[in-house]
Amino acid sequence: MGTRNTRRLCRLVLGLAWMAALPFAAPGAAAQRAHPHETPELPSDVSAAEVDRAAREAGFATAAYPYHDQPNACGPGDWRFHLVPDGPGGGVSFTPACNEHDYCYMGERDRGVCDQRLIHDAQAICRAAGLPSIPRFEDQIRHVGLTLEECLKTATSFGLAVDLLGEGVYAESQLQQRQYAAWLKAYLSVSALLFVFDVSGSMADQDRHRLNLEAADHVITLRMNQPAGSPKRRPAGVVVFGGECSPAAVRTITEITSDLAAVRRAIQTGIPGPSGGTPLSIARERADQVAADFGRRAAQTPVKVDVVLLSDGQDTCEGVRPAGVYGTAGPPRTGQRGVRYMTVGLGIEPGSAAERDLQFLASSTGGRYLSARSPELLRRTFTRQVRTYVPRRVPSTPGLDGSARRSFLAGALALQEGDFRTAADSFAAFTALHPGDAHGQYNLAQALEARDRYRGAAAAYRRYLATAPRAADRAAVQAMLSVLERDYTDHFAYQVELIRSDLAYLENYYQRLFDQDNASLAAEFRGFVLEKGAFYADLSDVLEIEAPWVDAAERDVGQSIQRLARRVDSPTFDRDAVSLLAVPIGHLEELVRALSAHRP
Amino acid sequence: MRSRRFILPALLAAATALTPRTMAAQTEVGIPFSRQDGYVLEFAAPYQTIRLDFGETQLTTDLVVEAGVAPALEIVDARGRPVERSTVLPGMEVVVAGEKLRSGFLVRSLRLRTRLDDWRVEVSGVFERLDGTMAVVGGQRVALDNGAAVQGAEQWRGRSFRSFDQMMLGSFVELSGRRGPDGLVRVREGRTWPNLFTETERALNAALKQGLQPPQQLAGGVMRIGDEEFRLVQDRALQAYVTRLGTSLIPRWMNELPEDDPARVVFRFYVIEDPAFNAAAWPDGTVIVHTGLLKVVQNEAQLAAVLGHEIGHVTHEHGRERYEESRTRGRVGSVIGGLGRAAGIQAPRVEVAGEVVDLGQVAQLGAGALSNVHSRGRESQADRVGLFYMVQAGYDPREAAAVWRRIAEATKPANAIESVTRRAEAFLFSSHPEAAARARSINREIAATYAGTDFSRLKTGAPEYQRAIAGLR
Repeated sequence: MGTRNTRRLCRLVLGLAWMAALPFAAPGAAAQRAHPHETPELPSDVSAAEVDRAAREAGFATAAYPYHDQPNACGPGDWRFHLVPDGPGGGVSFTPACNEHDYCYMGERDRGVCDQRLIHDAQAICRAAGLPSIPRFEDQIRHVGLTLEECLKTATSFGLAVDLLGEGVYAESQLQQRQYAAWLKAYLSVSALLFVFDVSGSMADQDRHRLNLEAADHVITLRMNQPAGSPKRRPAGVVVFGGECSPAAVRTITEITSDLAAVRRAIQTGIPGPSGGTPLSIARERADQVAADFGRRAAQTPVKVDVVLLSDGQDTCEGVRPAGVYGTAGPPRTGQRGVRYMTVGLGIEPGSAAERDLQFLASSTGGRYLSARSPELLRRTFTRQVRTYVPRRVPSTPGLDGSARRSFLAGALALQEGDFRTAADSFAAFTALHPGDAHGQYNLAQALEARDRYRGAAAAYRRYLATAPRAADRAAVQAMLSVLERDYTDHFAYQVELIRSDLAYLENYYQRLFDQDNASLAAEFRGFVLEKGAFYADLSDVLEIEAPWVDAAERDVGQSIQRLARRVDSPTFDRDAVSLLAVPIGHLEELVRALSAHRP
Repeated sequence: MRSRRFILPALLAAATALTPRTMAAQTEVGIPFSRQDGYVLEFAAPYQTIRLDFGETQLTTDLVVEAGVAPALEIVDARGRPVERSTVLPGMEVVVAGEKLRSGFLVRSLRLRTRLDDWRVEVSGVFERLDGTMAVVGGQRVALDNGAAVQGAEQWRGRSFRSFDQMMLGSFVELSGRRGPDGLVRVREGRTWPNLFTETERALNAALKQGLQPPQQLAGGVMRIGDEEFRLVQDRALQAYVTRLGTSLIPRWMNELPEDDPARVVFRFYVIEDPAFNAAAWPDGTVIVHTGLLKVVQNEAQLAAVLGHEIGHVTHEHGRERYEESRTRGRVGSVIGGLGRAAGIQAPRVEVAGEVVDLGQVAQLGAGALSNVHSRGRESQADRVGLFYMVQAGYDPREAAAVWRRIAEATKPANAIESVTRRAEAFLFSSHPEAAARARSINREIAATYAGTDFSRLKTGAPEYQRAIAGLR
């Protein structure tokens, strides 16, 4: 009797310990958003085995059950695991029910359904265990060993406990599932590439033409080196433009095709020499058309096409931007028609009309604009334009608590989905708490690199190497460090030019205050603030300089621009601007002076 | 070695003995003088020289003199009792007597007119800064006496504040107390009330935007305020210079108000093409400076004094006060307004927030700080507050007095033939004695409030100023 009661007491204590061990973390914002993502169907030209291989390579256990090694019986999945019983004792284990419950959390929209199912499954295990049924409590006390009634009660209490306390676990599971779904989606949607080359006369300068083709050749070679069946071997095509303002000035060299060798041959031998003007707007029409043709021919829909468009000058025809658009097109319309413009400005003046055309093309299609200040930088610029960022899936540190793991997962998910700002913020916060986590550092480095924060990225890669001295990719990351140094120098020089161009723009704008009408001046300034406000608010971050004078410039330029921006609706906007705009212009002059003297 | 050790001190002693001691020339014949309304500006140990504001005399062209002190200087208080030299403080009123020698002034006796035991001061204005237990109100440094309390008024009626850190920056305060030797006013009692954005202010600000013709308000660089037109100087660098200087003078409490607070004034500074020596401010934060003023002013600190004074009119809501008085007493700016009427300009009237506002009135609300349109009390308050703003921004406040000395100089009958000053006189109603008096009162204020300030650490910014206005020359 004493033994029986002791055992019963033990079960009670273990049950309480189990409940206590469940994470108490409140559901975070990510958990609120969490909803199951359907795992995408595999397209016909992608093999399941290849996806499975890639998934394992990316850190998932298998493609079918991406977190196969994660379901952890009945515990919350960390050190508290050992405190948690796997069932009511007496040789009965709820582990299969708990594992099913874990899977359920990954995919189920309603957490309660999973918790109910856990009770149901655990009770089924009780019933199947052939336990003696002793309904009366008095009789139970006299009975040695587990009874069916006790087993059923324990099953219910597991379910209720999970229902009460499983919020954090549920959130984490959902994040894991979303991460896998996002990864698979990104993996499968590696886009067809369409190169659009500027072969106008100016491309003959400085070896521009040759280095442009070499850079494209490099990108195609990288694709060709992907294993067969990998979506990264997706098709490519080539369009060139140069000459008069007529469709004849744009030529489709190769339609988008899976025969990458043919594309490569075309790039190596089939591109005409540079001559004539820059019919950019006509080239854009043609690129859209080539992408649409590919969409019609392709087996599965929707298709994604990344148009890598390089130009070194301003459109010589009707223009690219609609009237009144400064450079970018407001919030990017991502995913529209699946065609993104990844534009590259080669040696064009930062802030010039030509650059704004390319910025507009990129931002209006959800793409990205990069400036290559000299032809030698084209290979790197092209590589950056087609680069995909693959996060490490889980922290490298074992035994982190649930909230730390969830914050890591949320960051990895953001990185996967291309929300680099959120990813960088998440991993900055994560690595601040867990600086020794190599995967956290690695992901932070990637997010920063994607945001053009090269200095920060290099620092994070260095910390990655320090925390994982035997990393398999050590050599590759080390090689990356010097590339990032160079990137930083180039990027810094570009930013300085950009600030100069803003200054020149505002100086010109100031003169126009005296003879242009108030409404159009106000609208134009609103556009400027919309596009440049964030840049100046982030100045020290963008420039990656930690110095009081940069902080001061960030504050002074930002505040003085905002002060005027708040008055765009005032009937006295133009006269207010005569006084108020003089201030940011002065601050920008100082900033440009300081930046010119600064050696990164 | 030994001999050398004695050579240096001996040489030093000889050099000291040979240095001409101007003030010790007792045998020289001088011109005796006595001034009833002198002010002490500086008098500190070892008490060998004294800086005095003399007012105008036939003995010097300058209002401020640096005088030597006779070894047997006699100092007595108001009742004729001898007092120590250390009791003489900057800002005190004195009867001064001595003689003018060829080499300079020598003071032989001082009689203090300020009561030593009870130097009463009334302070009023906006509570603009808190620094430990010290506060700045209306440009004066104040501290609460032990046990003293400031009573709440209007919305704060019934409340009582026992320290400045319980009070709200930017609120209105009236205090009375006594000035101590350090220039600090020790407050015995006072009252404070909130600085709210009133209906009157709303109406005034709206009225200032009336009469603008869309789409282009700034037609060819002409700015309209009420029924007046101002031609902007289209020189961005100069405009930026004045704007940035003006912006640097805005008190911190104003800058720290939330951007959407209606009481927050967004100051806008403009350089106006006009040869008259003038500057003005409107309640909505519009501040204008004429090119005629910029040409006369000599350095950045002097311009800071003018702009600080204008900002003071705005922060202390002198425009609203005048407008409210005009509604009880009849007309705003009757004198200047009369000029416009005389010229045949009929000001349009508009209805703003249920009130009929005369645009001519609105235009006149900004009428020159330097024009004495504001009452003498408001002008002195703006002077004091302007001094505070310029010192906060790092400028030498003594240059504020220099501005008025420049005007006094320019308006001297002998100099009035210059066209610029004739216009200045017409516009400013600033007669020569008034200008001189303003300079003196500013000097007195500096001496009292900024006693102990190391002015050499503050800037005047002459080269910067000359560079900035080079285009006007």
